[in-house]
Amino acid sequence: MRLEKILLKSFGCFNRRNFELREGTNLIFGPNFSGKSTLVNAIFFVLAGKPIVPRVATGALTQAGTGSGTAGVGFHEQGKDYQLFRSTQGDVELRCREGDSWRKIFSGKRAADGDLRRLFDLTYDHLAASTFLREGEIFEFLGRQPSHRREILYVLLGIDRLIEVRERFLEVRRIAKREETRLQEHQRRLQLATVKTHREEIKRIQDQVVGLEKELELLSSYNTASGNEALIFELAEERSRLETQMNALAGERASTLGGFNDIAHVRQTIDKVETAINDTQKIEAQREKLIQEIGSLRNQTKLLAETCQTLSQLLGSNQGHCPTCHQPVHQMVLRRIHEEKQGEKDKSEECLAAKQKELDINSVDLSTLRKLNQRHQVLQSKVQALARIESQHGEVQAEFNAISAKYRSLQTDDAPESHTSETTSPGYAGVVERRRQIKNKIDGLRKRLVTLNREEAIITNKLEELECSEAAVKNAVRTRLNLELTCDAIERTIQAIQHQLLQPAERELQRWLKRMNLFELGQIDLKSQHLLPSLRIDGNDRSLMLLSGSEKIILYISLKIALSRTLGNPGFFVFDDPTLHLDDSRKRLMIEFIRKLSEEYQVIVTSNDSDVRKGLDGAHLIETEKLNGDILR
Amino acid sequence: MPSTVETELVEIFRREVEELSKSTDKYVSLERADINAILHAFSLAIDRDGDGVTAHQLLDTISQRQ
Repeated sequence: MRLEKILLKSFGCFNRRNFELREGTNLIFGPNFSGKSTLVNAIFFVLAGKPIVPRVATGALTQAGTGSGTAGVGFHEQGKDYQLFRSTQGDVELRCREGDSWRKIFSGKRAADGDLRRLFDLTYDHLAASTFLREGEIFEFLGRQPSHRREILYVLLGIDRLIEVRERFLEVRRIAKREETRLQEHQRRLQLATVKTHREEIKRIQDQVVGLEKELELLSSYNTASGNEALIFELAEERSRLETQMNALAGERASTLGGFNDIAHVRQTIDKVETAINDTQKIEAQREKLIQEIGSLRNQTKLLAETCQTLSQLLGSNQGHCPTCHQPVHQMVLRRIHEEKQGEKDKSEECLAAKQKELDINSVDLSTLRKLNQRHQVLQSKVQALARIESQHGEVQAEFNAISAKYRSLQTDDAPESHTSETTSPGYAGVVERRRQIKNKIDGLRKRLVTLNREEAIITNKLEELECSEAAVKNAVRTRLNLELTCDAIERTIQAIQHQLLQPAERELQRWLKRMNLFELGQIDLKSQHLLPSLRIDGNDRSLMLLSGSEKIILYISLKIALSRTLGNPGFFVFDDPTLHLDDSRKRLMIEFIRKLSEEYQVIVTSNDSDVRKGLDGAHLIETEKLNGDILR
Repeated sequence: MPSTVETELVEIFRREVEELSKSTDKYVSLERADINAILHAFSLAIDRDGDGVTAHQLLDTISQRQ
């Protein structure tokens, strides 16, 4: 790409102005505030879409007092002439010359920068890093943190996406590591839970049971082999059992009888109690009668007492007439009546007292009746219990007699010599005892086996779970390893790409420094300090930070040129006042540098230094001036 | 990312994976299937911009659970 024209309308300090550019060196020369940097800014803005100074709003590029400004650039690319315009409001238009007219290729806001990248490979980052040098840029670059420089480097090299991918895989590795740790902990818990299995004990007990069962079988065959001896023993055992049962029933009967001789005695007592109850029940009827009589006598006595009291009052008052009928009555008659009534009253009271006494006796008898009833119930229960006991005892006794008869018969048939007494063979008794012991032991062992098998089933489940867990852990470890390999490989890929892309830049930088007779013995390294050139001179590392001011500027511009080799360059460089702060000798060095650069590229330089103007004699000159205290419009 | 650059990137990555898996003791036990899974996951991550691929998708790919 070769720039041919700058076209400005209401842009920066310019109202409407066009500037021609040519191949080789173009020097924009003028005093301060004459618009030199505005021209640099205009080219950058048109091509990159943003002001060259970071964090400056696009609107600030507009000429004061106008709503919108437009900058345009005319350029030649691959045999064609183009004009690219960009307004401060974001409108972009690209035209291409066809004959004498211009054909619009695209216009509008949307996707303009994408189109420019696609058509001319123009991006903000590449232009800023490898094409333009703005005033004071080097000091900003030196002031950046290494991490920031690294980010710029990654963006420039186009590996920022790869960095994102690396971050994503690091995140995945963290997840995998957490999962692995979780699975390992689970596995450890299962290992602890399954460390003690019952398999050996179960096997041992099973063997023990089998052995005991065999022994039991042997003992059973001994039983068969010994003929009636076993039956005799069993009958003896049964007889003994029945005897024990009978003794128990006899004990129960004795306890139930209490002080009675036998059940007949109890029944006799029940008969007596029943007779007593019948007698006592008559008292109940008498008692009712007595109560009625006592009630009647009480009324009678009460009436007589009242009569006596009335008569006493009459006798005492000497009134001589009846208080009720008011007929005349003699005192004598009254006295006699009073005596008679008093006598009746006394008799009634005596009778009442007698009846009351009789009732009291009757009540005592009634209490006896209740006791008798209770006694009767107790005796009835006793009779029933005794009857049951007698019945059971009879049955047991009958069975006992039958077994005893059979036992005696067998004893006589089987071994009359050895079994004359009612004792069984001590050998067989031992066998039976042993069988009992074995059965008990087998029962105990089987119970233990059930418990152990239950616990073992749980352990077996956990062992199966452990097997799965071990497989999961193995898989998690392998996944983590895969991810570690991925992360390591991405890191090495980043290094490889950096090396691949920066090595030509390092060589190019070395070449330019050699051309300028600077740091000929040093080896340039752009990787170790993330784009900040590091020099190895006489075995010592010297970063750009340690160089002198002029060395820094030349090295930094050389870096841009070197990066343009790696990143690509549109075909021109724009340097805003590159000789600022340089002494005469370094200024000459820089001028020489620009001259050599312009042999390969189009170079646009701004300066207000007359030495630069002299030094770049023959360059295409664009002069900007201040007029009457105001800048040229 | 242009497809040619992407292809070149995957190729560099593949070379690095192969080299690391042979030269690093801890990776020697990994099998061809693991290497293929790693390459697949990396291509997936590069292929899908930004949030197009989740961490768990990558984890599944790398552990060959898909």
